[in-house]
Amino acid sequence: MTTRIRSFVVLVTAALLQATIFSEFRFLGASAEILLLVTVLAGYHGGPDHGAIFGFFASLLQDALTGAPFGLHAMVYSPLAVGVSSLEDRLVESRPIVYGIGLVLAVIIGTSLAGFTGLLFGQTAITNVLLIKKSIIAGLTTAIVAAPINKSIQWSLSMSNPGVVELRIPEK
Amino acid sequence: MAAPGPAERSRPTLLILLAAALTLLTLQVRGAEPLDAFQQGIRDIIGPVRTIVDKSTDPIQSVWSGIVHYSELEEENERLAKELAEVRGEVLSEEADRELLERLLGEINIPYADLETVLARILGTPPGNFGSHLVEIDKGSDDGLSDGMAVVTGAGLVGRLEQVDRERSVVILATHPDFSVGVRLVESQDEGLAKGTGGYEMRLEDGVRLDAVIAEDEIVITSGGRSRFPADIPVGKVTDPDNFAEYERTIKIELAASLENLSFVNVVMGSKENS
Repeated sequence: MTTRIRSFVVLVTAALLQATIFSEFRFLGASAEILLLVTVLAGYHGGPDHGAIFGFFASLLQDALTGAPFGLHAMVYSPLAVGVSSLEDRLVESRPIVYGIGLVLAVIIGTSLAGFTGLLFGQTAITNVLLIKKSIIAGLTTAIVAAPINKSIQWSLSMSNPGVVELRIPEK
Repeated sequence: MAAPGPAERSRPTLLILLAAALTLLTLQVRGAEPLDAFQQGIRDIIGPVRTIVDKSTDPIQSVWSGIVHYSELEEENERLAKELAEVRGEVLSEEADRELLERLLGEINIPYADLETVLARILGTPPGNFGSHLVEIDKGSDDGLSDGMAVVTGAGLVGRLEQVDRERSVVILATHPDFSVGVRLVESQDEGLAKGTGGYEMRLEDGVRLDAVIAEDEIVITSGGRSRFPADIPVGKVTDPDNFAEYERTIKIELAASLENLSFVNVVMGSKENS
């Protein structure tokens, strides 16, 4: 299975999860942002180009699910994936806690920016305080479910990762 | 010269994607129907899966809701107990009020009960974190519903249909800032446009005369006419008539229907007289 097919499978699964289980089970009115999570992880594991394209299609699905006009979430998701990839390149610290905090922050920033973009385009009827509160809760709940989704993103990209290069020294 | 970093290499891709996003956004905001239909198609494909998951996780949802909303339920219980005590204490005046309301409704010949409606169950809030003042119901275009239909309960106006898919629809509640409805004040007979505030009430800002004498608790109903809502649906009652306004008058309306904890609503298909 190619990377594209695997990515498609991951995207569709993420959309179904977002529309079903994660819409039903909310905590303090906020749900986990699965499509944003796969975008962040695709940017992290797959690099800026892959992350941006992955984020673009994830955002179109998010638009369709939430009834927002096409392109609204893409204004945030694709740049966010590129940003995450760029930061990952510059990251010196590699402890899991740093990744965890980074992921929560990325989701909070992505969710709030998507909310503010919605406000700009008249798609959101919510106060700024509530928007930030919901973004923080969404970031934290998303981090809880990040581990299995991280595995699936790694699986979708495993075809594009270079294999182990075996160095052979010719016998004299 | 150093080779460009990954972020620099991705700039053209990102610019192309952002240009595509802006194009799509502009087209859809301007009302490109194929894009709307495509979005609806995606939701219609996912719809049956959502229904199956919704039904199969119903018991777990109930448990989850009990855990997450326990404190809210306690507060609501206390509030309801207080309200019940107040209602018991004021039963006589309530009866008098009811008689007055019936007389007033009779005077203007309200055919509210004659509306042809479809009963729908509230499924919850639509996907996403910013669906404020929106609820999802379990009926859609397969049941004859279409955009803009009025949604009511036995108590009065709840909102209108905003996004109708095959099996589900989204209701924009009357408190949503984008919601507006033509209304009439029953006693003064003034008409105006009531709008949602994003809070718990509606505001009537346009149409009412500055010198009109409006009483607190005056009943407000839909005005009908060119409005998309049938006439004479109860909307609520005036809580602040703003009788001393000098330039712009803002009348506050408390909704008759309770929009919190809704379980079932009726979608108004049209009046029986018209059908």
